[in-house]
Amino acid sequence: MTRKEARFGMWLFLSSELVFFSGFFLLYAVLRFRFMEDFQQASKHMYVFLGFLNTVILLTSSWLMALALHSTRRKKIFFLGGTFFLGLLFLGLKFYEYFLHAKEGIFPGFSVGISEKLNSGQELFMNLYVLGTGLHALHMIFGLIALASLLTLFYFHRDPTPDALERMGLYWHFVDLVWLFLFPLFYLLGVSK
Amino acid sequence: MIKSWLLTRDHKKIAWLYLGTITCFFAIGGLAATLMRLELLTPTEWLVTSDTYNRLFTLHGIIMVWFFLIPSIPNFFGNYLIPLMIGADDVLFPRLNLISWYVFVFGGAVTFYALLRGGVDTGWTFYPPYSTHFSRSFVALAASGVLISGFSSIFTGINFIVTIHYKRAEGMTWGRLPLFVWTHYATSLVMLLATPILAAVLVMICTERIFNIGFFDTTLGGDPILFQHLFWFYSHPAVYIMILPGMGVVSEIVATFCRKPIFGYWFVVWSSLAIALVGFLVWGHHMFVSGQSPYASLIFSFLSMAVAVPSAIKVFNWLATLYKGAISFEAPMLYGLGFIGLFTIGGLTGVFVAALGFDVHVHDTYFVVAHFHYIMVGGAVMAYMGALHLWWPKMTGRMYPENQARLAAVVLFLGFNVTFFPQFILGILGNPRRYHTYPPEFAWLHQISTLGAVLLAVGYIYPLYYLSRSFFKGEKAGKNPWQAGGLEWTTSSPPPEKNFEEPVEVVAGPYALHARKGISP
Amino acid sequence: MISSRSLHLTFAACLLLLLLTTAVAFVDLGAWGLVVNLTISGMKALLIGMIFMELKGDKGLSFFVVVLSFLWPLVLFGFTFADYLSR
Repeated sequence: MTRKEARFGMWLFLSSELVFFSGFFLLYAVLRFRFMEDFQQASKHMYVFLGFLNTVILLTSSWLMALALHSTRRKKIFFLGGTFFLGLLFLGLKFYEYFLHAKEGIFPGFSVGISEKLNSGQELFMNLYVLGTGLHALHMIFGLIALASLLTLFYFHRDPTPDALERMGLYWHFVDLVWLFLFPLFYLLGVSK
Repeated sequence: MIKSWLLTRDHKKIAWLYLGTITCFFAIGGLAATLMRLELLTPTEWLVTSDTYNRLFTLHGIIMVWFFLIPSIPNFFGNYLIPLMIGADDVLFPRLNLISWYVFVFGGAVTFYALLRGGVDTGWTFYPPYSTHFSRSFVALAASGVLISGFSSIFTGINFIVTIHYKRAEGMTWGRLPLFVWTHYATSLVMLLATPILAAVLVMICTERIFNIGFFDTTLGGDPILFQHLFWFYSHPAVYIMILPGMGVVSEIVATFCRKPIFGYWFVVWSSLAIALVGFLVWGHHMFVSGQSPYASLIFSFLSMAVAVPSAIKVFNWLATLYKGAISFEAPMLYGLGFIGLFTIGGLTGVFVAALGFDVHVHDTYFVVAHFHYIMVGGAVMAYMGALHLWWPKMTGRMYPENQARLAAVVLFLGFNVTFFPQFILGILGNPRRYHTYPPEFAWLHQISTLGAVLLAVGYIYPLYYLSRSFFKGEKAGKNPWQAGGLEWTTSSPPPEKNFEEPVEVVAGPYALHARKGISP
Repeated sequence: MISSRSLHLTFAACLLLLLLTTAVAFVDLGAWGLVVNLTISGMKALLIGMIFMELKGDKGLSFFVVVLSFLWPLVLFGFTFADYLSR
């Protein structure tokens, strides 16, 4: 299997992932179209600073990931480790955000009386937010497991092939890209209102 | 021995694993249909309650669509034959191939578990708000099983695309690929681009049901039609996943038993790709009476008529191939001819229902049921049976008994028509689908239909018997019992582990017989 | 081959674009807000795709796959909104 073939296979998989997320984005688009104002209001509940921070973290991890592919062995491990650490940090912040929302009483599915605080449109926004960022977080977790496996291989000196690292990189960048769309769509919606 | 099968990376063994699994699922789905047709013998309830009937038709739909039709030809014949047809020793990602089978089995197990717990009563289409808020059945469980099996589709699609791009033998140009390979390429594109939406929408259904969210619930601000858009964006292309491989099989059968190249090779290629492409643009025709805007319906109606054109082109090409061909009527050819006739009827009735006015009258009636069974059973399953007989000698090294096979094919054809033709009439007369009771004046048509179903069952069970028997008692088959073109016929029956003893070099297309190095006449 | 310099520059550009998109969010642009946001995100996607994911170097095939997989959701969006906008 050549590099070209391995990459092509991963690109095909990523294209299916793109279609998957686009189903979710359609849901967002239609509901936002119906509930424009409610979405803007609900977006005010977002922790924009945390979201911004997380976006920076993820971009940095992508940068490290890209660097890892063009480095010597020691640096590879360092950069991959950095990516892994930043990924964990991202998830940590994300779950902290969820916790804050739950404390506020507006986390869907876990907040009794959410309907008192938010109207239908706003509740739908929160539902979409959790579904979207939740699916994204799930993909991050898969990515972290894969990263951990690669790092473990390095640790035992059974180094993964350059192809494997490339495919990891492609996947990681893709997950970063999805977040780059989620961030403005959920966090920046109500900032100016 | 078990390990060599369960941990195999050989595409041929994986294909056999799939065969075992899908045959079991076919039996389960068929059993559900049997119970349904028995209940429908009388206008009033006699064998099962309405609730049980709902669970039966849901089971039948889910199992037949996702666990039989979609994997049947691609995952058995595609897996087995594509590497052989392109001169490769295996697919490009053999481990992914094995994983896709395990994922399929896991998804099937989850769905089967949902069945054992009592099943689902929403219909295979899972429409909300019933599926999300009112159904007291195992919706999330069944939906999860289907979701999981979808990954098997995606992995298969990826594997076929990369394999066809990068593992073709020396001299195997795109223009020399058998049409079977081309249709699987088109199918793989659809698998890749459509299935993820199914995953997305099933996730939404599950979250809505479990967490009481309102994406599709009008009382909470959502819209059930949004579900239908997402669901059918996948499920319409899914029907092309189910039929395109069958069309590829028919091309191979017709070429073989007419001893002629397929007429208009490139027309057939481009038609296959066009079906895959345009098939994505027509999903709204399932929603004509749902409350969708009439203007959108207009566009979808027009495009649905357009999508019939490439299919028709293929039928014309097959007919042109038959013309002045040296035709013989072995079992595979009988199935192939049956496909052409029945698919044409199914396709034409598809154009009927694509017309807005007509669809308003027959939507949710037996007319639609008959239409899609003509395509799925009269088409896809016939192609499957034809493929089974065409490549049985290659895959097992044994011949099946020809006269018994011909008899079975005729029984299947007759049984099929007796079962489903009356349903066209029932539909036009107004008999709605998914009900276990009906007005008594329709009883005679239902009874004819059930009688047909008995014949149909014989048409399935009989080959199961003689094919299994032929494993042990069948006459040994040579490399090329049909004198067919195609690389798979140049190697032994069954092929060696690495598929070809000598390196393959291709100098001509698969329909130019006797123009290849190393073929034995 | 992608040089380290391009990687650093791409990273910096993405950060800048992020700042831009956040800053713009404070201005009420009405419906154009969405267009601006998506455009900037699209630019980030392009940069990451071409440089980090090395799409620039891949032969046309992978590029074609990416284009196709962007077009397909557009079909989904387009036809669905054709329904919603004309009801």
